[in-house]
Amino acid sequence: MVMGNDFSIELTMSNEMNPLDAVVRAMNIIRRGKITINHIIIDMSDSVIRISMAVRGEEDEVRWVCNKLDKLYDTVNVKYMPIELQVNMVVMSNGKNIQR
Amino acid sequence: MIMPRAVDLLAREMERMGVDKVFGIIGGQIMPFFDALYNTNIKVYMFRHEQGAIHAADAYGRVTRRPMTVVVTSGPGATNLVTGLANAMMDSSPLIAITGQVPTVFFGRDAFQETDIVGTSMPITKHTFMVKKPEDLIPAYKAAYEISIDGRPGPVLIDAPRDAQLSEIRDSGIREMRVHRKIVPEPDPSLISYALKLLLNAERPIMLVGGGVCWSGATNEVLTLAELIGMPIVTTLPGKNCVPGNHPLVMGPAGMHGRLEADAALINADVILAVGTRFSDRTVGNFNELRRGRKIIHIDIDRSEIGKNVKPEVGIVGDAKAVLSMMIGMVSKALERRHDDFIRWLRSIKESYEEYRSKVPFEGFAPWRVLKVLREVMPPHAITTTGVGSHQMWSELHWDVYVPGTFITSAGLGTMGFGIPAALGAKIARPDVPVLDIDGDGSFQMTMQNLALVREYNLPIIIAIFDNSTLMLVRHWQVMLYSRRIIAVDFNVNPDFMKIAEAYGIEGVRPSNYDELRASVARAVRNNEPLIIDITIDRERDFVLPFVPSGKWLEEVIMPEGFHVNLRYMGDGYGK
Repeated sequence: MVMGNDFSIELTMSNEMNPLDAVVRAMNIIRRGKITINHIIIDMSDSVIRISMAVRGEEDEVRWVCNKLDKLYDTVNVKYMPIELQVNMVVMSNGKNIQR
Repeated sequence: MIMPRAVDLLAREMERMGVDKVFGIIGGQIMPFFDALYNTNIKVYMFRHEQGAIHAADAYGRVTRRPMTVVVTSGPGATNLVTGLANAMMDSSPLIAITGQVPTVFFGRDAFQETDIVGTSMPITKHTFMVKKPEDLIPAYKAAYEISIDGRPGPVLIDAPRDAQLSEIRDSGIREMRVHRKIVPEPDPSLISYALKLLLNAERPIMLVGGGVCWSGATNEVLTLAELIGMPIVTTLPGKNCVPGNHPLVMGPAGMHGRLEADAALINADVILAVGTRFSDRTVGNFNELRRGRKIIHIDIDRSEIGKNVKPEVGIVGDAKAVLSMMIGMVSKALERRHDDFIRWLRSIKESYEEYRSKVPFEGFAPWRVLKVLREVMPPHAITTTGVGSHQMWSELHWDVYVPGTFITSAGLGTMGFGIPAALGAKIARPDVPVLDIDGDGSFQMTMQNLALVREYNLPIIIAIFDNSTLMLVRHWQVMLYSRRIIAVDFNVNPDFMKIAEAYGIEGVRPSNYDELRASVARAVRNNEPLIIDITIDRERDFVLPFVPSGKWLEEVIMPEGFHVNLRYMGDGYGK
C-alpha cells in the first residue's frame, strides 16, 4: 500500500574532509525544497555519512531535491522511493520489539 | 633542514598549474599566503574592494573559461566576497576564492575578524573547503580548480586558517583528494529522436538559447540546427552572449525587457527547444502560460534544471554541444521543414520597431541611439560589460552582440556595480581587446573605487555612464506599478564624474551631441586609452519599453507610446 505523497530519501555522502560540512550542505538544499521532513536520521559512524529521511511532498519536488543533492561533490549516492504503509509494522529499537 | 610552509608549497603548486596572477586584498589572516607569493612569478592585482576583485574574477572566468583565484583576508574581507560568490553561482561562472581565517584554536571564540565564511557561503557556492590540516591545502586547491570547471561551472571557496597556512610540512605529507566528478550522461538517442520528431512536425518551432550554450561551446550547433529546420532563435539575457545578433534567425532576447519579435516568437510557438536555460521568470514571465498549448524540449547539463520551473515534454540531460550534434546528424536524413513565412513576420516586427525608434523624437541623448553610436565605433570583437539597471535593459534590447562570448552582464543576481570590475577582469584576460563598460550612474558609484587599477596596471577600459541621476529601473516600476509614488531613487546630488575621472588619471568627457560621443570613443579605441564618458539622460523620459510586468504573460507587454504591433501570428501566407 502506497501513501499519497510520502517518500523516503537515502543519501550517502563522503566524509573525506569535514563531514559535518557535507551534512550542512545537504540541509541547505533540503530546506529550500517544497517538501516536509517527517523524520531524519544522520549516521556518521561509518566510513561514509548516511542520511535517511522520510518526507512528504509532490514527487516532482522530491525529485528536484534529490537532483540538487546529487549535484553536491560530497554526494556518493542519492535515491528516493515511495513509502509503503506497513500494516502491523514492527520497529526494532534498543533490542526490544515495539508493536505499532 | 628548513621545511617549507604549507602556503609555500601551495604557491609553488599554483605556478606549476600555470597560475600567473591572482586578484585580491591582503589582510591579517591571509598574510602568510601573500608572503609565499613574494618569491614567485605570480602577479597580484590589488583591488580596492573585495567585491571588485571577485566580480573581476567572475568576468575573467567567463572570458578565459578558466577560474581566476581571488585571495582575501578573514572577517570583512571574506564577507565582502559574498555578493560576488552569489553572482558567479547564478551565472555559472568559474572562480576560486581563498579566504584567510583565524587560527583553528580560536574557532568559535569570536576572535578578531572571525567569521564562519564556510557556513555563510555554502548555499551560494558550488563547493567549499574548510582546510584545518596544512597537508590539505594543496589538495583542496587542486580539487577546487577541478570542481569550478567541471560540468556546469561555478565558484568554489577555500577557507584557510592562519595556522594551517603557516605550518611546515613535507612534500611527501601531501595526500591526494578524490573529486567525485559529475559524469555528464551520453545523450539518449531515443529521446533525441522523439524531440526531433516534435520539432519536424511542429507548425512554428523555435529555439530558446540560454547561457549554457556559451559554456558548452555550442554556438555553431545552435545555428546549424536552426538553419536546417528553419526555426527562429530567441535568447535569454545570458543567451544573448551565445549567438551572433546579426544572424537572420536570431530574434534576440525575450522577456521583461526583451525584443518584441522574440516575445512574438515565444507566444506563437507550438514547440520550444530550450537549450542551456533555467527558464527564468524574467524570460518567460508566466510559467503556466508558457506551458499552455506548447510542447517543450529542454536540454541541460544540470539534471536539477529539467522540470524545475517548467515541466518539459522531453527532458534531455546532457552537454548542449553533444545533444545538438546528434540532432543535426539525424535531421540531415530527415525531411527539412521551413518556416519562412513565420520568420518573415517576426522580422517585420523587428523592422517596424527599429523604424519607430529611428523616428521617435527624443530631446537630448536617447539611450538606444547612444548604443547604436557606441556599437558603430567599438570593433565587433570588443568585449562589453554592463552594470545593472535601465542601461543594462537598453543594452539587452539594443546592443548587438556580433561575436559570441563578448557580452558580460550580471543576469541572474542582477548585481549593481558589476560593470567596472567586470571590465577590468575582462581587460586583464584579454589585454589586446578593447573593453567597454556600459554603466549607469547608480551602478558606477557602487564599485568606482576600483578605477584605481586602470592606471596602476595599465588597463585602458572605456566606461559609458548612462547618467540619469536616479535608480531608473526602480523609478520606472514606481511610475508604472506604484502610482508614481517616487521615493528613494533620485540622486539629487551626484558627484562630478569628470572630477572622478581626473582623480584616477583617466580622461573624462561629457559630450553634448552624438558626434562628440562618437569622436571621443573612437579616439580612445584608436589610442588604446582609458575613457569615462558621462552621458546625460533625461530621467523623466528614460523608460525602458517594451516592458512585461513581473509575473505577466508576454502578450501583456507594455509597448512604447505611439507604437503598436499585434504579437499574434495570423497564419502563413503573410507578406505574399
